[in-house]
Amino acid sequence: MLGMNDTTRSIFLVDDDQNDRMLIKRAFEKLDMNISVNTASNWEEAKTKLVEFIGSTEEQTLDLIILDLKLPGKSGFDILRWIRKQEKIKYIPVIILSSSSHDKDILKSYRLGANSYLIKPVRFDDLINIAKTIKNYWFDINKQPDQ
Amino acid sequence: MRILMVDEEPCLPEDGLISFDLDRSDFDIKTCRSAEKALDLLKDEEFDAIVSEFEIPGMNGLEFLEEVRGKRDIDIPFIIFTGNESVVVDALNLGADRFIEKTGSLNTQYYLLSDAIYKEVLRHREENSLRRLKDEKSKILDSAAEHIIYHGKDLEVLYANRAAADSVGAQPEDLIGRKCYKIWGDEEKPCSDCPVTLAFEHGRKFTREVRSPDGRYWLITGSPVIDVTVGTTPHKDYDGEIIGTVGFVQDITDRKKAEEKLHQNEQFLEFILEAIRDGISVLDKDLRIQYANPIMREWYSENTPLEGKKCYECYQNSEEPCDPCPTIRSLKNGTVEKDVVKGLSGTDIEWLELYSYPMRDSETGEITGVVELLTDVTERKKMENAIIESKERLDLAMAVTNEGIWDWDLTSDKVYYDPRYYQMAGYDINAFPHRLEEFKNRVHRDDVEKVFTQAKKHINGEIERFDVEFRFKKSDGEYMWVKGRGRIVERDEDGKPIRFVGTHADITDKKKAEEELKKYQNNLEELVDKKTRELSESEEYKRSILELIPDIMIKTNREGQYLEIISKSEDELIQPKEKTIGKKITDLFPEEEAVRVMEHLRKSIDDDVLQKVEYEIPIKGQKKWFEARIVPSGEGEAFALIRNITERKKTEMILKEKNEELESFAYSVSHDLRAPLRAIQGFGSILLEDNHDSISEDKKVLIRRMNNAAERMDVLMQDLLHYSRLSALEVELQHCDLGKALERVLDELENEIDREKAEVNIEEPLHPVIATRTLLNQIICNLISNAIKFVSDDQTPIVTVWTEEKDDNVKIKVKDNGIGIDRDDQEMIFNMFDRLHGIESYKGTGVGLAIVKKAVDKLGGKFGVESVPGEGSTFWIELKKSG
Repeated sequence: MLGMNDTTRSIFLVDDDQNDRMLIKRAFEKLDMNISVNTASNWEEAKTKLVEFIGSTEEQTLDLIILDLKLPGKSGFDILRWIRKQEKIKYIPVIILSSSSHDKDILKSYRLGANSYLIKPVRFDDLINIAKTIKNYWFDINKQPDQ
Repeated sequence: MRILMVDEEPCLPEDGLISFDLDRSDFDIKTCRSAEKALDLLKDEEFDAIVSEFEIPGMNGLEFLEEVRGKRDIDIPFIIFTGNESVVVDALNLGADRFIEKTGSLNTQYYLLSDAIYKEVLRHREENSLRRLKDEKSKILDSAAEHIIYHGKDLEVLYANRAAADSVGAQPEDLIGRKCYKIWGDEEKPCSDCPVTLAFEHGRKFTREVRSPDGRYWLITGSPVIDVTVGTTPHKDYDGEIIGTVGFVQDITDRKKAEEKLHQNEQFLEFILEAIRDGISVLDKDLRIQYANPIMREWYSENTPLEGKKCYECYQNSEEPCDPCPTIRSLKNGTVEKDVVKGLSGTDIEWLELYSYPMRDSETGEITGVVELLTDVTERKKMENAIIESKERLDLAMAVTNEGIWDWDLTSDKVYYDPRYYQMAGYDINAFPHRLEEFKNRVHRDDVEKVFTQAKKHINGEIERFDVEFRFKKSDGEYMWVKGRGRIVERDEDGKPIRFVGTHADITDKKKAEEELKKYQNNLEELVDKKTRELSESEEYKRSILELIPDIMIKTNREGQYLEIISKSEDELIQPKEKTIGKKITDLFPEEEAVRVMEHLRKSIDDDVLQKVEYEIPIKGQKKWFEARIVPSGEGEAFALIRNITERKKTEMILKEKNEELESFAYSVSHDLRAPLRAIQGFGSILLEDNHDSISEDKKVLIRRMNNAAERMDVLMQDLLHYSRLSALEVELQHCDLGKALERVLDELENEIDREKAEVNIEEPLHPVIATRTLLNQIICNLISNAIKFVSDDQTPIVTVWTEEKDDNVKIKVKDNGIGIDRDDQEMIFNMFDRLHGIESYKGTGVGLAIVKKAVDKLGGKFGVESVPGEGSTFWIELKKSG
């Protein structure tokens, strides 16, 4: 189930690489017991889960979306474009976490409304640092409109 | 002499009629008694003279004479030989040539007669031949194409030949007596400067060229006719009296036109030689420069004047002829030769293509010298190099990912094939047994011998390395290209090889690229061959430099209307020459291209500048690229040299494709290959963390080693990516503040500097340079990062950065206290992967300096290193100073 009660912070992660999903999830959950990471591996799965969240009447939150760009079928760009058109979730911060350092990809991400673009580190320590920074900024410092 | 004698009683001496004047002369005399009979005889026979008595039966002598002269029109001498002296006047009046009286002794009579006959016949013959001669002379003069007119003292025409009369539509005799100026000049007085008048006045020959209103040219010669028998006229510079002049008028229109054309051609040639951007020089057979066109004088300005000096002195600054030299070959063999030679030092022209065409004496065929045509091929050469380079990089990138491993036990011929080995050819893992013959059966029939010969040679120690390319059968039955490499890794106690290990790399794509490249090269060669052939076949090539110029030459006006076209063949013209003249560029070109070309054409004419424009037009259904160099030529006209650059464009296209291919390959490499690395590293870390207490120390070391390896691999991938991106990067030169660049770089390297406890000193002032910011950052980053890396373990890295100004350039220097580099290795270190130090002791992938080299090349700068082993190195790059 996507979204949790208000004491927790909820992240939705879309990445087709099972290993990366595990590592990222672990990096966040290890950091803070109150962060939960839900995942999807492709466009269909991501859309189903997001639609379910949008339609849900329960008191749920979704605080951050992390997208990989290269996915089988529709890409991370497509998901981002779609999210920005959904009234209920269009202000949720989206972070692109990709292995591509290509200018073209970075530019396109911001053009489509990404809030941040990060490159997947190889070292797990670096990934933990990134998770820390994300938590600090997006959960503790940054203020988003109420959903 | 046959004589007809008419007399009633011919009474001749017993021994006939004999001329007493000439011994050899004799007479053959036919006698008859009446004029009637004589007239009959005259019908059938020919006689040289007639002798007739007056008093003869029937028709008398005078009547006979009248008949002969008047009615018969017989022209032979007629002598009246009679005793009747009263008829003498009548006889002479009627046309008798002589009258001889029969008086005195017979001997006297016949003496006189024979003498008369003899003289008359000779005179008659002489007159005849003179008349004939006169007739013939007149015929000859009449058949001449030139006008020949004989003028009298008052310029009246005494004689005019047929051609002269024809020129005014008259008969020659009609002109006689008329004044020449009234006939030809249509004037009332002699024409001024008329050579005929002048010849008459000055007594020598005068000539003059005139142009008649119908546009024809004439050469008029006036020659005086001097009667030398009339003595000397003292105040004139000739002997004798001038009795007339001969006018000789030649139609020289064709000659004049040819001369004009020649002159035009010469001017045109001169113009082309001035305008053409290729170098042309003419050498004699001792390699002495006879002519050099302006481009040559511009290129080799330091050695001007070039004429008269030896080519190698001027063009190569050498004391000796070059070797090899196409010109020397051309002189020796009489063939057209070409080479690509080193360009001009210190300029953009790095490579020149030199064609040498032998010149021969048109009569003896002996080689008299050589025409050299030099074309700047730097761009083409660079492009070729770039293609090769990008191909090499692709190879390299592929090698990283695509190798299968084999391990051959030479004692048993068992071969271990690793999973990748099977997979790359589409087989399931272990799809075929680990036997040598399985490999052998899958090698293409034509390659088996090559592969095993190589292997054998390596096993026998004849070659150091087993390295061979061959075709290998895939699971679907198709063949793939494989590069096999390997070496002996194990030997028995006797040194006999027992284990042979190596890799298979899929080089199908590389082979394709190679074929493409080869095709391109063949095309180029074909083109050159074709050109060479065309030139050798052409008869004219010896003399005409024009022919050497590959371009089409076109003259147009400001409206783009074709005025003149010079082209060796019609192959590169949109329409045949004669159809094109008079048409406009806008009539023939596709609209968009026409607009562009016209813009440049107008600019060239209006601003009086050279314009260069490339355009693509269809020629006989095929799209072709051309480059036009347009120069203004006189009033509102331009002259364009047009060169087919389709081949170059094709090359550019191939290069672009290659780069894109590489880019996308590198992209997917970075993406796909880094994912598993993250997994290895990530799970390794988690393993360590979660089992911190339960895992033994030596196992922890292994996991850390695994993690480090994954990290190093990631750095390698990133460097590779950087390197391949550099080639695709558009260079945009701008002012760069070196201080700011350093700031950014040090920021980026903060972690690394902290980790190594390195000291980085920056010496002010830092001169600004012209570069591309991203490239400059990359260069400095790599140099500093390197400086930190290559330091012995026991030393703290100390890096110093400073700049030095030199003319228009700035040298950026980065000095370290590292391990230094041997002189022999200094060249090598800029090449990719040529790392000089073992992985264990120093970090880095070896791509760093290759990136620096590439980036500096892109910026058009220079780079280098000064180093003493053990004392550190100073790497420097030189870029243009920014004002």
